[in-house]
Amino acid sequence: MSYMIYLVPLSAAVSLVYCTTRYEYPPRILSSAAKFFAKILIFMIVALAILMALSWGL
Amino acid sequence: MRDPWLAGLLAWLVPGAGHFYQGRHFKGTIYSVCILGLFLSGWAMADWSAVQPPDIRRPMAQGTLLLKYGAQLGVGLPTLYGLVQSDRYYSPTNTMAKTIDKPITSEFEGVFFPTSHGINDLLARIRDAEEDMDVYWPLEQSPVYPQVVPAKGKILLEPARSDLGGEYIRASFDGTMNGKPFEYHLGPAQLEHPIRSSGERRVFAEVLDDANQSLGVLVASVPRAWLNRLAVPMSTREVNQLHAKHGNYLEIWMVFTWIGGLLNMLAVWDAVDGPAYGYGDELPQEQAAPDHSKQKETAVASGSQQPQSASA
Repeated sequence: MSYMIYLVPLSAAVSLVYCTTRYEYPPRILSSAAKFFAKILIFMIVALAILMALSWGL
Repeated sequence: MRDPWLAGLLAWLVPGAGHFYQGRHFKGTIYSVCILGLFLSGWAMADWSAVQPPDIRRPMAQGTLLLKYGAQLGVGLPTLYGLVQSDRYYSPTNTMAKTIDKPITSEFEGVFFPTSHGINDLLARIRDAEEDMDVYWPLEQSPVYPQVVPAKGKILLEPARSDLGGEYIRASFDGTMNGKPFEYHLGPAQLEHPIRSSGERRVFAEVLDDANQSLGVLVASVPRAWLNRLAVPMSTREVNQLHAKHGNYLEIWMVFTWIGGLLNMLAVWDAVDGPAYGYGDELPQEQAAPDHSKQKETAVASGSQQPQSASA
C-alpha cells in the first residue's frame, strides 16, 4: 500500500505535462492541470474502492 | 516559434531544452521538472539500473525489453547513451582486465577465499556455482568455499611492468583479515569487466606468503567509473537481483521512467507544432471567432507572448 504514495507525484507530473501540451497561457495550464489531477485521483480512489470491495474476504 | 524542428530535436534529447530554445520558459520549466524529474528519480531509485538497453546487434531478440526501452527512448540523451553502452558491453574487449591505465585506491570490505588453485580456478568455481542460481550470491555466503574469511581495509592498484616487459596490475593491501593485521603480499590482480551495471567492480588478487606460495584469493571491490555503469544492459541474474532488493518498488520506479519517456513525446510534439488547443486565454467560442484552427495558428505565431486581447 505504501508504494501507492508514489502514484501522487506521478499523477501530478502527468497532469501538468498533459495540460502544458494543450495550452500556452500559464494560468490556464495550471488551472486545467489542477482539475485533471483531481480527476485522476478521484478515478484511482474509486477504482481502488471497487477492487477492494470485489476482493473483500478473499 | 523559433525553428520548430531543431526545438523538437532538443526537446527529445533533453526534456524542456527545446522550449527554452524557443523562449517558452514556463513550459520548458514544467517539462524539465516533471519529465526529467520523473525519469531521473525513477532511474536513481532503481540504483541507476532502470535504463536497460537491448543488445544492439540483435535488438529484436528481446521483445519485452525492447518495449520497456522503447518507452524510455522518449527521453533521448540517456537512452541514446544506452545504445553506445550496449555496443561497449557486448564488445569482445569487455572482459576481465589484467592491466589498468592509472592507480586506483579504495576502501573496501571483501573476503578471502582459502584456495591454492589461483584466481582462474576460483572464477570457474564461482561461474559453476552460479549457473543454476537466480541471483548472484553475496561473497560472504560463498557456496564455493564455505570457510571464507572477512577482510577489510584499503587496497591500492597500480599499473606495473614485469622484468620481461609484460604489463600487470600491482596490488597492495593495508588492512585486516579475520580481524588480524594482514601480513602477506598480493600477486598480480585482475579486475572484473569494465562495463557493467553494478556500481562496484570486483578485484581478484592472489595472497602470497614469503615464499611466494599461494594461500588463497582476496576478492575486494573498487568503485566502477560512473560512465561505465550507466545505461548498461543487464543479465537476467542482475535483473533478478534488482527485483530481490527492491521488490514492488522497482516496478513503480521503472514506470516513472517509462511514463517520463512517453510524456516527452507530447512535449516534442508541442515544441514542433505548438499547443494542441491554442493559447488558452481565448474567449468562449460563442463570444469569439468560431474558427478553432485560426485560434491555434494565432497562438503558435504569438509564442509565449500574451496577446493584448487577454481575457479580463
